[in-house]
Amino acid sequence: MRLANRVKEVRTAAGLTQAALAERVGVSRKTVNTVENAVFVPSTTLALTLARELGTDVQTLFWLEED
Amino acid sequence: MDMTVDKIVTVRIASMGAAGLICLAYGLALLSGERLPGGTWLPGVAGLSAAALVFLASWAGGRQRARAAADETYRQDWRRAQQHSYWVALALFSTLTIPVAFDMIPGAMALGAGGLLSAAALLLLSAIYDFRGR
Repeated sequence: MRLANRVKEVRTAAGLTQAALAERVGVSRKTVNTVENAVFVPSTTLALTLARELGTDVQTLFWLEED
Repeated sequence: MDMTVDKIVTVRIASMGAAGLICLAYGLALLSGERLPGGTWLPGVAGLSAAALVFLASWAGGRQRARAAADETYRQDWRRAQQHSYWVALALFSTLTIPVAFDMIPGAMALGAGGLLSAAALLLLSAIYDFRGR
């Protein structure tokens, strides 16, 4: 199982850069970048904060996929 | 100067990397019997300077940016650097017992070099992992 996401899609639709989203969420740009590329699995708190700042719910942003 | 999150991270990577390289150079010099300029205190000063620089950069950026620069990705990178440098240190000290056992180098030299190279491993791995993915 792997955690897939559509953070990049929702972020670009909202007209935000990685740096702008990172500043809103209170993390570094690397964190947003690695979450988007599915390199880093965010904590529950970070996933919920990302969803809140992007105006969506966490299930829309993240879901589980079979390997 | 406006100290952004990216700038705090850059200061951290540069200062940890520089301190790591100094520890590496002095550790290798100690083993090979060469004398490097600055004396044996330089690696310690480099480590303390790196800590001071990171502190000053974080302080200049403010609490919010400092927290963002030390977020969960950084904490994961730091833990990974600690895990890997632990095994490097074990391998180093185990390997260095061989020349000590055969009286090729004194025990104090092996201990000093092992300490410096272990510190170099932690600092350099931390800088490398921090840099990756940026």
